[in-house]
Amino acid sequence: MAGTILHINAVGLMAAIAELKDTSLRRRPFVVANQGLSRAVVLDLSSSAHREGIRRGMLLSLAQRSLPGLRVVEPDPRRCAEADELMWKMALGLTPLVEKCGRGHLFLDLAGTGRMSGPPQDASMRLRREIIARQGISPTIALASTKTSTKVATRVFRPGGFVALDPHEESQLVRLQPVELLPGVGPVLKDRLSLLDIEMIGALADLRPFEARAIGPRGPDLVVRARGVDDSPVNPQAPERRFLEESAVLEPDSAEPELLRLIVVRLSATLGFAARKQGMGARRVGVRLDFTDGKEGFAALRLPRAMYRDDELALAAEDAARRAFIRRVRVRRVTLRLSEFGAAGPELDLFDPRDAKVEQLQGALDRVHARHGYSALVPCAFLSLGQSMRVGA
Amino acid sequence: MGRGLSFEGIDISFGLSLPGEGGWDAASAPPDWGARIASLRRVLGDFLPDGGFSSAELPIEALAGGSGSRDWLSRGGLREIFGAEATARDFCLRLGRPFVDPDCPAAPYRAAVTECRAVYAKCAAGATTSYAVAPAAGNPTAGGPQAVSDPAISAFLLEFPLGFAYGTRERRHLDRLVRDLEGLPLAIAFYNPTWYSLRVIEALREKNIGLCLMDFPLPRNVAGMANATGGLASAQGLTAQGVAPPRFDMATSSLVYLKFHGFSPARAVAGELEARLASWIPRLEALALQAQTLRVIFQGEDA
Repeated sequence: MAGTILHINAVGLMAAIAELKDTSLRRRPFVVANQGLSRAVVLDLSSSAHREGIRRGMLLSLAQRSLPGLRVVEPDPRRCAEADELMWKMALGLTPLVEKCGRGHLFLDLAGTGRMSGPPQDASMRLRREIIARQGISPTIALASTKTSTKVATRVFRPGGFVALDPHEESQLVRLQPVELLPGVGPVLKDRLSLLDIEMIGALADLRPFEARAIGPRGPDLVVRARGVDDSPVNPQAPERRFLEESAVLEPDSAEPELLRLIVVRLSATLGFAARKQGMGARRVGVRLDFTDGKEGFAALRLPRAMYRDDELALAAEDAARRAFIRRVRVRRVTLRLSEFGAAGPELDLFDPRDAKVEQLQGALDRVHARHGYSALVPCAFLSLGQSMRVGA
Repeated sequence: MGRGLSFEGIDISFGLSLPGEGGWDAASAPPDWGARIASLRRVLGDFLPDGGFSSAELPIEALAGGSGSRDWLSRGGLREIFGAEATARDFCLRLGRPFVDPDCPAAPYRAAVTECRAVYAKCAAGATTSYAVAPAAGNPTAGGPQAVSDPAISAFLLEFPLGFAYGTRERRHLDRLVRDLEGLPLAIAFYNPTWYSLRVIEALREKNIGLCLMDFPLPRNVAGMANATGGLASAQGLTAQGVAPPRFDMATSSLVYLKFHGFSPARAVAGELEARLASWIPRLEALALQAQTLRVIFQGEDA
């Protein structure tokens, strides 16, 4: 019995839409690019062009030199957005748990839909048929029990393929694939892994903990995913609309700045841990203070990028708390909210080397907290909070 | 009978896989062959075109090999298989042990390759009319000699058994095979799941080789593959449980070859075969967008 997580990967959506508009493009090499730009790049391409060695992201001029006579089609963002929206609506007909993750990419959780839609495999087939009939595009579809497995599978059986994997088949199939197919492995990390003679996901999965840490701060996380372990749920809420919130009640009410600072830091650590578990980072940090007299103060900061480390989040939260603390009145409750989530630095390659140690420390702390609970290991400063706050109140 | 499953601009035909390796003759046919075909026709119902089964998957020796095979074909073997209105218009030839066994000595391998190319050249030149259907022996009233309508070879099928796992030696063997059989319409079936990687799929796509799609009865196991793969799976002592290729559909070339294993009305529970077939209809529709030739082959008795 295959899993219930379905991934729809409409690879080459722009190219497929171009083919629908102009049927003469079928089975011909062409690319989608903004010709008017001086350094235009290939945004999308047909499978024939891919066979000729053209790749997405390649400079248009280079692609044209590589393949004389290559046809270039202007992108149609409006049609792409419409197609994406329509696909999402069709998916909602099967289950309310539909997660958008980029253009032409959807995750569906079909658990519990059997009585309404039949077995997940049949439901997937019907959805695929509907997408083909209504949009004329043939997405790649994979059914498995984790998001990582489905993602890797759609990158293997494409374009236009379908695969349903039983749980015991998933890790085997994933292990056989090139390491660059694993979500989170970018070109630079791939090169780094290549130097270590790690070409296949299976080789990455076999790394021991200390070897995983040597790859980088998120190495252990990647190794776990390479083993097919991924408990991230299908979240129907768009990442930019998600938020995490935690509050603490002061016992007794206090206007002591240092105490407030410690509470904010404590809350940011809790929420940061929750965000990192989802592989997300926040672009917005907000602090609300409920004063003893019933009034409240609020301040929010927009961050330059999706931040996920405790130290970064704590700094931003402290700043927001200072701005919210506008009255010299005792505070009853402190609420911290992280929102506008984005991917939490999936590319290890982009980490600044000077932060590597902090990243490693963060990863180690997360592993301890995940295994033994947050209270197992806390900064000494938090001990001083003692009975003066109740988290989650 | 309905109009049958068809897609615009796609050459689709249904066929039967005939058991055996190293030749085929009337004696190889199970005694109740006619009844099996009739029951298969009932299961396929409206999906089957009016002409019925029009493809036959045979071991290559049936066309190229010894006198027994030729005799069988010229005696009206196709009629024995497909009935009096034999309209088989193409053959899918299963390549045997010299091709799928990396340890096969060079001489028989070279001979097999040469023979394979010769058969293809002969069929391409229209010489297969020599395999005309003649009146069945002992039944002169069945009609006069009748040529098979434009028979051709639509695919050469390489079925690699479970023991053929991805490795350097096997990869080299496959590479040599693909080079030697270049230009032939090839379809490859891997029973060992270690071949289902992006690298292999991309390579097949680059060389325009079809990756054979397979459907197994539930619960899936490979016990029945021993026969399908010439006994190599069991011969190599591999466990038959829990190992199977993934269930997938995808076109790596203009030829899509779908093979139903264990599609036996006599052994299936009620509704099982219909459900298996129905699950493939939308998948074939999707594949028809990417392919030009679709061959759907039923292998009735696997074990």
